[in-house]
Formats: sequence, structure tokens, C-alpha cells
Amino acid sequence: MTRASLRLRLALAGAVAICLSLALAGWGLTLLFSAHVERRAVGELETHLDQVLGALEPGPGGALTLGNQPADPRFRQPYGGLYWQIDTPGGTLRSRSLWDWQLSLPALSPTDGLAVLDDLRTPDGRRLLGVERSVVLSPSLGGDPVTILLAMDRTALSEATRDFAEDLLAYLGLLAVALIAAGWLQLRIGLRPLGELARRLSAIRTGDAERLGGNLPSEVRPLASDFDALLAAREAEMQAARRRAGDLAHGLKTPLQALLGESQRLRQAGHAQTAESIEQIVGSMRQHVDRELTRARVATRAGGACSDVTAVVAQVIDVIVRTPAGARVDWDTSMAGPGGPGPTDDLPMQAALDPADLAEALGTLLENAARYARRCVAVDARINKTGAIEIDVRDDGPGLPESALTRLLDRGARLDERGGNTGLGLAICREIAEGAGGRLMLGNAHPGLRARLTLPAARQARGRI
Amino acid sequence: MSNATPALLLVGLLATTATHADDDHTRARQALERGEVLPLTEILARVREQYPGHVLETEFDAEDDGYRYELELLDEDGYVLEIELDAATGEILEVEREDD
Repeated sequence: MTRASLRLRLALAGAVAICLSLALAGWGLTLLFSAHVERRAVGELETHLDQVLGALEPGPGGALTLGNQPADPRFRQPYGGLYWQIDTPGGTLRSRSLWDWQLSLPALSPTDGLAVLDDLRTPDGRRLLGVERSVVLSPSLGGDPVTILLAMDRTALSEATRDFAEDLLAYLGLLAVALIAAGWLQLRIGLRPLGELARRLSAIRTGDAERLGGNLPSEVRPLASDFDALLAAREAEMQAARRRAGDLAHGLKTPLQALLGESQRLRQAGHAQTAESIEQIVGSMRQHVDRELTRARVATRAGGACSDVTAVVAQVIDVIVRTPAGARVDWDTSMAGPGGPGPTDDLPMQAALDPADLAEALGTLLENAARYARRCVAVDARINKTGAIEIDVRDDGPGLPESALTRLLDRGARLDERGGNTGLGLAICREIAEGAGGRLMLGNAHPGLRARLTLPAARQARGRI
Repeated sequence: MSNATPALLLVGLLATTATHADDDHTRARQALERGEVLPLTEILARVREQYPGHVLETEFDAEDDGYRYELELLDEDGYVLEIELDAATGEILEVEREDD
């Protein structure tokens, strides 16, 4: 799941980090608050201690008593939460809040100062926070050492801490949501250039662009320029391979021609049978060389190839009318744009393949049509509903039996009924069409045969982005 | 001088009542130490079982037949109750509550 999206992965890691940090912050803040509350409580108890100590006065019969009771009502209410107790040599004085309890105070000496008692407990086990101090009274009060304790219930303190923690939790939750949202936003904005990179890559794939180009964030710029360098190297390799294929074709064609010449001489010398078989072998070799050359060319076709259908059709017809078969028939061409019939000079039909490939494919189709037509060959090119280019080549000849139609397009199949190298020519034509992302269909049009070449339109035809 | 006497008496009386109220916890402590009464925590626990609420005022009195706790309690319905208990047994003797 996390492998699917870098953004999700980063967002999840960010969310976990935010939650952990906030949990840690919440825990720390609660601890700090608890310590703070306790310090405040100890300060309050110290004030009460001074007040109680100052209120000590001699009572009836020489015993000490508390003149002014501290004002806080919690000292008066039994178990009220705030307590004082004074241990004197003559007995113990207690706040009313202690009621029937008496606390046992740890022994202190007057020089010890103020002691904070953390583990003080009431007789029924409640925890108290206390401050204790031992003092020597003035002579007018008897000059005795006494111990004074001021204590409060811890319940109130822990309740305050718990309330704080609950309030804090709500706030931290809100903060976590806000931070996670901000992190997500940050990721979206931060990773947007990667989307741009993907868009440019896709443009390269569809042939709208040739390079990723610059104007990218510095982090991805080295990647983009390396990628562009790779594209350039691949392109150079492809061109070299194509050149080598062309060289190979020329290199083989001349020896094959020479071999045919040799077979002619054999025939003249009376070895007709030998000459026949050599010619057959040469023919077969030539077919395979042609086919491999086409295959190499189609395979190395660059993504951005583009050819003007109208121009290529005119050019191919121009060549074919000079052949005996082509000169014998009428040529009827109709080039329509996307809007309907009629020539559209302002919007040329651009097919996404190399002009040389298109010329070869069309050459095969038109040559066949010219060969089997009685009087007329119609070439009709248009842009269909899906935006692809359809080129129909139709003759008014005898057509083909249905069973032969599919067989005709098999790779390298030969169709003796139509003679010559037609089968292989159509197979090459089909390979060119499919290599460009289109297809070739054959069908009887009564009369004659109709070959339909469907090709994807080049993107450039709709304006370069 | 003769005028001052009732005033002094009154002051003395007030002081006595004050000390009386002030040292009821001392008497409670002494009675507990003698084993004559239950701890107040236990008394409160018993009251809370039947009358949840919080205690406003606690009084400790000696009657002829023993000690009494008199509690003023604000219950959860917002009524102020007066509850009298036997301090030795924790038995609730009387509950006064305005009827609705």
C-alpha cells in the first residue's frame, strides 16, 4: 500500500511523527503542570502555617490555644480537605477538619526548616500533601519546641491535573489534525513538480515532446537532464541502427542482382532448371531482406514521427502512374478533413508515422489496386469519429474470395491467385500499420477489393503544446 | 457596673458556646479513643450509601443515651437534609426532608 504512493507514505510518516511528538508534549506538559500545582499548593500551605503559628496564644490554665482560627472554611468542615495540627509537649492541637483523626508527625529539629511531606496519609488511607516545621516558641508562650503541620488532600491536586490533561488532550487533538492537514498540503505543493515531470514524460511517450527540458526543481533537474541525455543517446543509436539496416539492404541487393544475372547466363547456357531454382532462392532472399528492413525501420520509428497523408498519397500516385499498370487506370482521390467531405488545405491530415513508411505501405496497396483494377482506383482519406485517419484504397477488379482475405495478411503468406510478391507486400503493409499503432483491413466492396488503412493521427496536427 | 454584668455574662456565654462548638472535634476524638463511637469516615460511608450528596455541616452532641451525629447534607436532587445518627452504631435515627 505504502509502495503505491510516495505522498501517502510521507503523509503517514508525518502523521505518526506528529502524533508521537504531541503525545510526548502532552505527557511533558501534564507533568510540568502537576509540579507547578504542587509548588503553588506548598506555597499556600506555608502561608497557612505562618498564620496558624502567629495565632498561637496562651489559653486558660497555661495550655496553648489558637486565638484566631484561619479563615478558610475547609479548616472547619470535618474532613474538609485542609488541615492543621500542632504537637506541643502539653498535648496536640488539631483543626476541626481533622475531626477524629490525629496525624503522626515525623520528628524534626528547629534548624531543619520547612519540610515538605509527600507520603503523608490519613488514618483511612487518603494521601495528603503537607508542610511541617519545628519551632521554639517565644518565652511568653512557654518557650517550648512545637511541631506544626499544615496539610491538604491530594485529591484536589490530582483532579486539577486530570482536568488539565483532559483539556489539553482536546486541544492537542485539534492541533494534530491541523498539523497533519498542513503536512498534507505541504506534500501536495512540494511534490507538484513530480506531477509535472510525469506529464512531460507522458508527452514524450505520445510524441508531443522530445525532451523533458529544464525549468524543473533543482532536486529533479539532474535526473531530467540524465534522462534527456539517455534519450539523445538512444535516438543516435536508433539512427545508427537504421543506417546500418539501410547499408545492409544496399549491400545485399547488388549481390542478389548479380546472382540473378548469373542465373540468366546459366539459362542461356541451357541450364534452365538450375537457373529457375536459383531465381527462386534469390526471390525468397530478397523478400526476407525487404521484410527485415521494414521491420527494423518500424521498430526504430521515433515517437514523434509525422507525415502529411495528402502529400504522401499524391507522391505515391505520381510514381505509380508512370508504371504500365498505373498508367492504364483512372485515379480518383478524395481527401476529407474531420468536418466532412471536401479538401481541407488549412488542416492537413497528419498521420503518426514516418513518411517513408507511409509511402511504402500506400505504395503496396496502390500497386495492387492498379494491377487488378479494370478501369478505376479510388483513394479516399478522412479523419473518422475517433480522430484516427482512415485511408481506403478501392479497385473495381474481381475482388477476392472471403477465405483468402484473412490468409492474405499472414506474415509472409503468398497468395498465388494474385501472383508475385503481393502476399508479402500486404504483410509488410500490415506490419507498418501495426507498428504505428494502426491496422490494415481487407474486404470485398462489390465490385473490387477495398483495403482500409487506419492510422493514428499525429498530435502535432492539433497544435503543439 | 450593674449594667455591665449582664453584658459580661452574655460575652461569657457566647465564649462558652464558641468553645463548645470549637472543641466538638476534640470530644469526638476522645470518644473515638475510648471506643464509644465509630469513626466519622464510617458514619459518612453509611450515610452516603442511602443519601448520596455532600455534607454541609457536621455536629457532634452528647445525649443522655450516648453520642449523636447530626449531619446537614445537600442531596443530588438539590434538597437539604438533616440526618441524625447514633454515633456508636451508625444507625440512622431521623431524616428530615421537605416533602414534595
